[in-house]
Amino acid sequence: MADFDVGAVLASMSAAAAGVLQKKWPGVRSFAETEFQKIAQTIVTIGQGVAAGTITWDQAPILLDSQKNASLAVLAAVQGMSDVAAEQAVNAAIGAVKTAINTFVGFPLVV
Amino acid sequence: MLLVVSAGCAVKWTPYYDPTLDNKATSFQQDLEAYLTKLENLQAPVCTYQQNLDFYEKAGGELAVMQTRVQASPHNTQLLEILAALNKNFAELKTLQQNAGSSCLNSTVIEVERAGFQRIFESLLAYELALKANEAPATAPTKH
Repeated sequence: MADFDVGAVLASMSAAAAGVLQKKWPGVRSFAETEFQKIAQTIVTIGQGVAAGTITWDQAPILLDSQKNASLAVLAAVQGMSDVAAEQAVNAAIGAVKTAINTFVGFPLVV
Repeated sequence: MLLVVSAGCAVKWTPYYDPTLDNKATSFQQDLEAYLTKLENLQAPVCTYQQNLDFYEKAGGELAVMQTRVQASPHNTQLLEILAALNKNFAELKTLQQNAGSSCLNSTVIEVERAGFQRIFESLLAYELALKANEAPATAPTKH
């Protein structure tokens, strides 16, 4: 059975997610990398199961697809959580100038 | 400035936290986990797909309810993607059990399926927690 480099797979998954999320990546990195690590470990289990005969050739692609689906869910959550962080940043920025804007226009424009 | 004028208050481009969806996801996870644990301890023929149609019917209904709630939510792109992953894994569990025919799924196969589901539930719940934390705190009641 060929070796499966979990570290390399994890690094590839993290790099792909970081490339998409760019500046938002640091805020969600911990969650994403923990989940990617678990998925990579499960892929190892599938390979070991096929080698040991506890997973059949017919079952292996289905089980691998399940891990791919799980990866897509992790990425979606990571994207969603980074959107939440960005939304909070924008609202904090607006909040920081609230008094100045309301004073300038003379009524509570920003509430 | 235009953004502020048009909104008048905080911007919102993420979904609102939905406690019902949160509860239903947890309930579905509990049902699924109970089913997988049961499967690990059953012998043929009670472990077969045909003998467990009631689980698939009930769980399929729970998934449909979650799907409806998410579809009705604004800014639902990520929630839809997570639920799509959950639906696919549920369908794949069904396929694995159907393909097994009169045999039981062994513990290795069940464990790998369980791991995939767990990643999806963790993703959904982490996102729901982020949405919950993002909600503005409720205004304290005032005395009259």
